[in-house]
Amino acid sequence: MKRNTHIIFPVITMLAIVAALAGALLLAPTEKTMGDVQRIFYFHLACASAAFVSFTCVLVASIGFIVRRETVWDNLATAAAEVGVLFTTFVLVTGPLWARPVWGRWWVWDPRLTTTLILWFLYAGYLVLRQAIPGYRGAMAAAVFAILAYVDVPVVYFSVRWWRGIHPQVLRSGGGLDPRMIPPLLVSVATFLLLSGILIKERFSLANAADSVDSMAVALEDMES
Amino acid sequence: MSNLSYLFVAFALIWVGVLAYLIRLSGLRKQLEERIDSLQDRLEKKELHND
Repeated sequence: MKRNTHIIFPVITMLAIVAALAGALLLAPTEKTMGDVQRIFYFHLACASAAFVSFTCVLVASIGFIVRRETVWDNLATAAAEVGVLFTTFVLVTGPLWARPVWGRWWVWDPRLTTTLILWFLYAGYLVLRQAIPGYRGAMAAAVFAILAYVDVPVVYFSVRWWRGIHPQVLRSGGGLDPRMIPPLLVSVATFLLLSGILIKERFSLANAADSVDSMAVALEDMES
Repeated sequence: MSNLSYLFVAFALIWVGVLAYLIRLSGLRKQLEERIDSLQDRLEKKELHND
């Protein structure tokens, strides 16, 4: 069963990637004013969703570590933070590529863009902190930091409502999204959530395996001495 | 750069990034396998020494 899931999930993800690409590039209608460059939106928003879910996973795992004091929670938090930073990087890279032809500038200090950049620095900082202080002390410091850093996630989400900027507010009732754009968008979001889930699972398994090897090495050294 | 070029670069960067992360994971797995092999060698030597 475990062996089957090892194959099934990557295969489903590959098929979902093909469906998401087809949806975004072929099936979605061309936006009237922006043209084809608006198709970046399908993956840009999907990457943001994957990053938010990954950072929520970091929060849950960090609380888990503080409550249970077990290394697996720390490993899960670190794995999810790595994947979250990866997807936030995609958001920060695809955003300017969409903004340049539409706004005429690569970057503007808009509330959504600025809070997203802060989010990237916070979780990149989390990873640096986790690497800098090894062992239990580092894991505890990183867990506390991750809980505080999560405050920026709702700030990024609500920034377009709280402060007036030029970043479009897509997810709102009666938002200006063409109904034909919704199915490809949902497929893209589901695909990137699946992809981030698989990457977190793989990274988490590797971290747990590395811990087991460390324990075995220590046990062998004890036997040898 | 045309509209389509921005679209192509954006999509390409995402997939190159995913691929780079997969290569990193594969590198970590290889390192782990090498450590397991080295532990196995040490264990076998120790067993031979004990015999």
